Amino acid sequence: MAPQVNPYQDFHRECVDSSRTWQSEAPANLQWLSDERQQGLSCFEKVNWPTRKTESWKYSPITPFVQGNLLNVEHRPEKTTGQRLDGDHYHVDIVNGHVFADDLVKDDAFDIIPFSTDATVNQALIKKYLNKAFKLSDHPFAIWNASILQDGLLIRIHSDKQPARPICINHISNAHKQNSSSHTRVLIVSEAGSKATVIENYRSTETSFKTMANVLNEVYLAENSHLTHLAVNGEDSHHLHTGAVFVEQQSGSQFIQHNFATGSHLKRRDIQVKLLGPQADCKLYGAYVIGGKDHVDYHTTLDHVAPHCTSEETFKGIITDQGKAVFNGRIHIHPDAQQSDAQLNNQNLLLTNTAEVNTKPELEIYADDVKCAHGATVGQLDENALYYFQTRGISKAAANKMLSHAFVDIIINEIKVGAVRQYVTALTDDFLASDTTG
Amino acid sequence: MLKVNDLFVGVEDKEILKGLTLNVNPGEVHAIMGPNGSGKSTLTHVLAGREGFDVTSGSITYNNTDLMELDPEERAREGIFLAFQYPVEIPGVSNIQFLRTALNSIRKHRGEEELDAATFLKLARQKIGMVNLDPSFLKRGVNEGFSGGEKKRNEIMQMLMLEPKLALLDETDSGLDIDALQTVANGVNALRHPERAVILVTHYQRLLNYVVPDYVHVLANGRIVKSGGRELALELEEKGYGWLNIDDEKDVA
Repeated sequence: MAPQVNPYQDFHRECVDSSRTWQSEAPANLQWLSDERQQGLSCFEKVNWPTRKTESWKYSPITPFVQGNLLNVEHRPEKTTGQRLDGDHYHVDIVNGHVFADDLVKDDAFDIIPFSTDATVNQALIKKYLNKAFKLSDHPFAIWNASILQDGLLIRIHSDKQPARPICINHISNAHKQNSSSHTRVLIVSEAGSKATVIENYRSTETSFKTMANVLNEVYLAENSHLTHLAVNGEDSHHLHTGAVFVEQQSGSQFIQHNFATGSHLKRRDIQVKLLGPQADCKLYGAYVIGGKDHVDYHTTLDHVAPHCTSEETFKGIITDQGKAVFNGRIHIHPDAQQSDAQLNNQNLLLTNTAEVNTKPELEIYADDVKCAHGATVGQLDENALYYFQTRGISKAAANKMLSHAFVDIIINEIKVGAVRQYVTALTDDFLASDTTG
Repeated sequence: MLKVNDLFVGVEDKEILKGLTLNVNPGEVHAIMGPNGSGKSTLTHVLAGREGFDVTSGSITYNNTDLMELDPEERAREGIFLAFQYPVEIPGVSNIQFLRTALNSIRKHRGEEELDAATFLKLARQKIGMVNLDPSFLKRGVNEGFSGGEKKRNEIMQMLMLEPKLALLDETDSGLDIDALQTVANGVNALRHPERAVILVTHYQRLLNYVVPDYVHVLANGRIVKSGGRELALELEEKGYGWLNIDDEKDVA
């Protein structure tokens, strides 16, 4: 039998070439990461782009990337703060992957260290946490990120400290000259007993050029630390996003994550949490609202490695027009993880018969004394509820909107940061206002 | 106000109302009684505008307009209110948000100004007091986790807020303890007005001790078989429907 040819071979070669180009042209103050880049590149050279036959990419073809002509990486974008998330936060600005390091906040409770640092002690710290929370060969887009390492930063929350305000990273994509992709890394290190909130706010400005953000988080929670992480993907429809979040939790730590995404050509988020110490607790919440011909894909994996850990995961989505949602939630209970308690739920509301969702909760259990529950639903609005609204004088269209909003509000209302909750509510309002099917 | 004339209504080939005629004038309270399956609930839902019913012949006019031409929300804005036998739970939409949207839709239709949040809240607190529900219920999801009695009180509270011209109560009294029954009755009595009418659908006479009807009708086998004054309800309570020569079992079919 002839060996199967990967249909994206040419694209792969172009990607590898562009990584190599960036390696030689990377800004001087980021050259110290060249060993790490080389390590990423040699891995990237060996990997294949996923096809429809790759299980984890079966429902999300990568053609928008292949056809996007996105391989240019920008060197010196102009700074913009207009797209910051309103609210009382410590702001960090990243434009087209470039970290603006000049005016980073200083505080007793935490450090923000940009990759462009020249202090060897800081460089050593970054190297300690870079590429450590995941296996390089497992995630093709993560390897791509590792082979470029365009820029990034490390946030360290000091032991037993609690920053006074949330730290808000504004990831802005605003190509004005040509199509481009960005490859940023954000490392978060929560030291023992610390407590912090980190917001990652993804926005794009609508221009005639396409952008792609390929962002990677590595998150480390030490004993009894607490981190709330909010990832809001509110970019417009022309933007492409591949984001991955790899989390390692030690004993007694708590990681709470809120995800929200509007649709675009393709948004793909991979979230992997490893519960490595007893009594670690993880809560993942997510909501997505997809219309047009947009596509959003969340792949989550919860690894219960240590015993006595708890996890709870709920994702809800509204899909209308010809939108597509993909959800894959996996719970993996390792042999030693006795007394694990894991709950997983995904609910989808389809507003049209052309909307589509592929949802798959998966359980893999190798311990015998555990409590696990998982479920997925796909449904329409309740006719009886719509009628009830109408008998009170509320139009069917308005009832549709209120009931749809309520469907995701249950997730949105869990967000404790007011500015994020309001922004996400506004994005949902916009989505429902533009929906004409009601 | 409401004229139902020789109405025939079916659901999926099954005929439920078979020549029902009913006239309701402003200021009147009509009680409709009858055995299970006689078509009482169907009548209220046909009047409120639920989809899925086929009106095969007859007519319904409401204030000189053909009611069948109006969507449920248009009927509500014209002053028709249905208190549900089984109020729907709507998690995620608060009572207050629901009612404010409802009231403002109706006010807008009447050409009145929409109420701002503060004025609305004041009004809502006043009305919820009238049905002996704690104001905290305003913030909860619509009927979410309410007991049966609380749901019925909430229906009456909505009715008091929306001040309908024609209120339809579909077995609002069933499953209520005596305190709740009195609260419901007080709500209905508070609404009584020379320009408003009420249709009470009920199984039992006991609600009529508190809300004294002008007319009592017996609905059986899809039509009104007997009408009378308040004393008819008492007579029915004493003698049962058998007294009217209605065979319950056949009618249930």
